[in-house]
Amino acid sequence: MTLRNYLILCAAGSLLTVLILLLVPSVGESIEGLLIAFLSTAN
Amino acid sequence: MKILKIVLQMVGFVVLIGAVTIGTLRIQRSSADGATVVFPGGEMVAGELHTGAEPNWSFTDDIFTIELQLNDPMATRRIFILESEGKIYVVSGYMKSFLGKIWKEWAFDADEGNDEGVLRVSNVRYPRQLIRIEEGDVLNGVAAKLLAKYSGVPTPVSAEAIATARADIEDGNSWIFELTPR
Repeated sequence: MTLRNYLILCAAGSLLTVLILLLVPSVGESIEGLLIAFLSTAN
Repeated sequence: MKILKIVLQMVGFVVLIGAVTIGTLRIQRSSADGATVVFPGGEMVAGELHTGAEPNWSFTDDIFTIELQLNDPMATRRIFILESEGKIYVVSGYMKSFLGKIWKEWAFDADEGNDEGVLRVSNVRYPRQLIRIEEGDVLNGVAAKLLAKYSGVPTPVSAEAIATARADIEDGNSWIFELTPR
């Protein structure tokens, strides 16, 4: 993959991620739940 | 060589998406009513605003974390709470570590003058002022409660353990703020 195509892929992936998190709040809540579980596992 | 390049590209992509996800959630949560354990929140609106006499704070012994809003700049954190001798305290640990200096921004803010805020516990909001306690015998009770509640030390906590925890506070590794009414 050329650098140009890779940068386009990264930009598209980032944009899609932001859109999903903004439009589907439950996705963000699930990710946050995973982060909390990961951090708790502090013990 | 080609495989290594593909692997590096994949790792870079995954790291980027992870960073974008955390950044987006952080920004989203910064305007939410209250905080989560992971992300700070915005102004607390929900919950009855308490007026009148101070409650018996011993009920907080059964509450692991509370929400504390600082007013200027407005931000809410979810943190530990301690009750000792009828007064309540919040604690911020790891203050001398690299991560602590990044993660515990609220404590530095409070110490530098952003010391007025609101405590929300059991869906009741209490206007508070934060006063940092750096030394004194009051720290004995605070240290004992900190060890018993959050470190699982059996009660009664030994004088030696209390002295060690108190020294940790007086050395500035852990910061203690009393939450006084305002």
